[in-house]
Parts: sequence; structure tokens; C-alpha cells
Amino acid sequence: MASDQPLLARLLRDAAAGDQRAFKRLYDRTSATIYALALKMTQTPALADDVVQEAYVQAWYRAADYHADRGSVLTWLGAIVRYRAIDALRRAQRTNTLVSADGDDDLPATSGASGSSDGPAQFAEADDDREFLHRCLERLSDSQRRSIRLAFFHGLTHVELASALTMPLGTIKSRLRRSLARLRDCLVELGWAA
Amino acid sequence: MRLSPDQIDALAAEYVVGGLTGAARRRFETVLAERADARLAVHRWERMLMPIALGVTPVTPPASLWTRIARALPATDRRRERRVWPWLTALVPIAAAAVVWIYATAPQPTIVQQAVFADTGANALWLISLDTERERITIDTRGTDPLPADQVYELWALPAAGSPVSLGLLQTDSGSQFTVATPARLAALDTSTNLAISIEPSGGSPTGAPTGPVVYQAAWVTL
Repeated sequence: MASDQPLLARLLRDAAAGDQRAFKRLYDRTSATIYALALKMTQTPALADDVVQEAYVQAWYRAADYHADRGSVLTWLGAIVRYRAIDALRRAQRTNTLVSADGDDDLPATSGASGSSDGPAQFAEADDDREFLHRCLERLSDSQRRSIRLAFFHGLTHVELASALTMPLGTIKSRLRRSLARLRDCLVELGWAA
Repeated sequence: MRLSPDQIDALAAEYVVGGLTGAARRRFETVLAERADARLAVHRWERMLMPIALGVTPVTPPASLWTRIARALPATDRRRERRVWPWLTALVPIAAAAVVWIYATAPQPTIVQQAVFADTGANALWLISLDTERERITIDTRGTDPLPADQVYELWALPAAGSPVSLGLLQTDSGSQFTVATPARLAALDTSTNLAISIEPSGGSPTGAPTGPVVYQAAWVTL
């Protein structure tokens, strides 16, 4: 299916010019993915509601800042909602009990191309990137992969990661750093457009 | 602090992943504000990693969520109406057109931080925005129940260290007001993650700190 990106980019441009109807259309086309991401990170519908509200209000005021270097509109919105969710989780001073070390079982599978099948079809343009990413995640060790996923999806801090994975803090820090560097090198090697 | 490109890239990765916290996160945000290469590194990591996050199975949000968002957006056309005085529109159409033109071409404020105070029904009551370029704090009142004549709502920044800092008194009628972002207020806002509203005697807190009940709190978020 054709990518939604040109339409989303146009709606965002119109929103930047003050068109709230365009912004509503943008919301209608993106909110299910953005909301799912907020829900996955916060695991609490009330908190997800707050986070998504903050994210879209921010997107409205910062719409003019969007440019193609930020990736697709959905990537840009997704990044905004992630930072808002991380902030909200830190504010809520959530405890580790929310996410156990095994709590990432429900994350998208790293099973190559099939792992991308749960993404909305209209965002097919993201599928190539996702497949690259899945392939590179596959090359990491289980614990490297898990540390990235726990941090990325659940906003776990270094300290929380250390506790969830029962590892010393210093080990976690260096492991996460090494895992990310390996991931980056792999993506570059596969020809991911940097 | 002199950071090498490799160090910038590693910090950017951890920032995007969410591993940087507290002071380390704030330090890196200062670097981000100052260095274009750091911003590019963050954007690059966002593009690399977001596909994992966007692979979630979509979940339709509750219908009320858009209503909440719409309430926090500027009221449609209200901005323009406020700027074009009705008598001017009626009497001097050309001048009115000029006012509209000036407004339409005026730069939009650079809102960098914001808080939305809402009631228990999630209706936005006050929208507080910091516009650092114009060095002012905008208080957009959506309307709330008036207080008795001898009481006022007072807005506070809650800095990470030290006492709350007053950001001014709030009106209850719908409309916008501005207050100057003084260095003391900016410093307090810089380390605040929440703002609060207390009820104070008319004229504001006599002590410079909240004396009445804190009736609302809202997250102070960086946009």
C-alpha cells in the first residue's frame, strides 16, 4: 500500500499554518499507533491519555519544526510521545514492579520480516527500516537485545535496568552503550540510509 | 565540557533510548540546545530506533482524548478576533485589514515549555506557556468558577531545589494575560517539573510562598 507520509506531511504543514481541521485529520490517521505506543510504555490507560494529550498539543505548537531529516511524520510523533511517556513515568516514580525482567515478552517479535506484520499497513514505508532493525537486533545477544528493549519500550533507567536484569550498574551502562553501537554499525553495514 | 563526536553519538543514543536521567539528561539537553551535531545525532537515533516502537499493534484511543487535545489548542479564530477591535473593523476597514495583515505576518511565539491545568473532568482551565524569545509567560484562561472577592488564584513554579516561586495571579474570566519571565522566574521554571495553583488572599500571598490550599497541579513539560 502506498505510504501515508506525503499526506501526513501535508496535514502537518497545514497544521503549522493554524489549520486545526488538518490537525484533526492527522490525529485520526496517527493516533491509534501513537496511543498504542503510549499504552505500551506507561501500561496505564489514564497515564497514556495524559501522555498522548501532551504529545499532540506539543506537536501542534512545534508543527513548523518538523522537517524530512526527522524521518517520517509518524517517527517524529512517535519520538515526541516517547519522551513524554519517559517524563511521565519518571514523574509517577513508578517502581520496578511495573515491568519485570521478563516483561518484554509482549514486544514485537524479532523474527525478521514477519515481525513487522503488526504495523498498520498504511505505514508500509516504515517496514523496510523495521526489517533492517529486526535483522540487526537478531545479531545481538539475548541480554543486549533485552536491555535495549526494556530501556526503549518501558523507559527503564540505568538503575532500573540493573535491578530488572540483576546486573551491576556499571555493567548495564557499558552493555547498553555497546549494544547500541553494535546496532548502529549493523544498520550502517546493511545500507540503512543515515 | 568538550565532547568528541563519538561521545556525542553515544550520549545521543542513550538519550533517545531513555537511559539518561536526572542531571545527566539535563546536561545533555543543554548540549542539544547548543550543538547542531548533537541534535543531528539524536534525530538519527530516533530514525534508527523508532521503527521498533512503531511496530506496536494499533489501539484506538478513547473518543474523549481528541476532545481533551482540542480544548488545549488555541480557540479557533479567537486570536484574530481579539486583535481586530470591532469598532475599528466597522469604521476603518482598510486599517483593520492592515492590522490583520500585520498579525498574519507576525512571527508566531516560540513556545518552549507548557502546562495545562485541567479540572477533574479533563476540561482545560488554564494553559501556561513560556515563550523564551519574547521572555514572557502567557496565561491563557479558559474560564473557571470565580472565587470569593477576597481570594485569588496564584500560580507557582516548583523548582527542584528551594521554595516555590510566584508566577503571578490568575484571572478566572476567559482570555489571555502575559507576565514577564524575569530571570528569577526563568531559573525556577528551568528546574520545575510541575506548576501549582494555590488560593491566596486578594493581592496574592503575603509571604511570597503559598499560604492557602494548593488546588491544582500540572506537569511543566518541555516542548
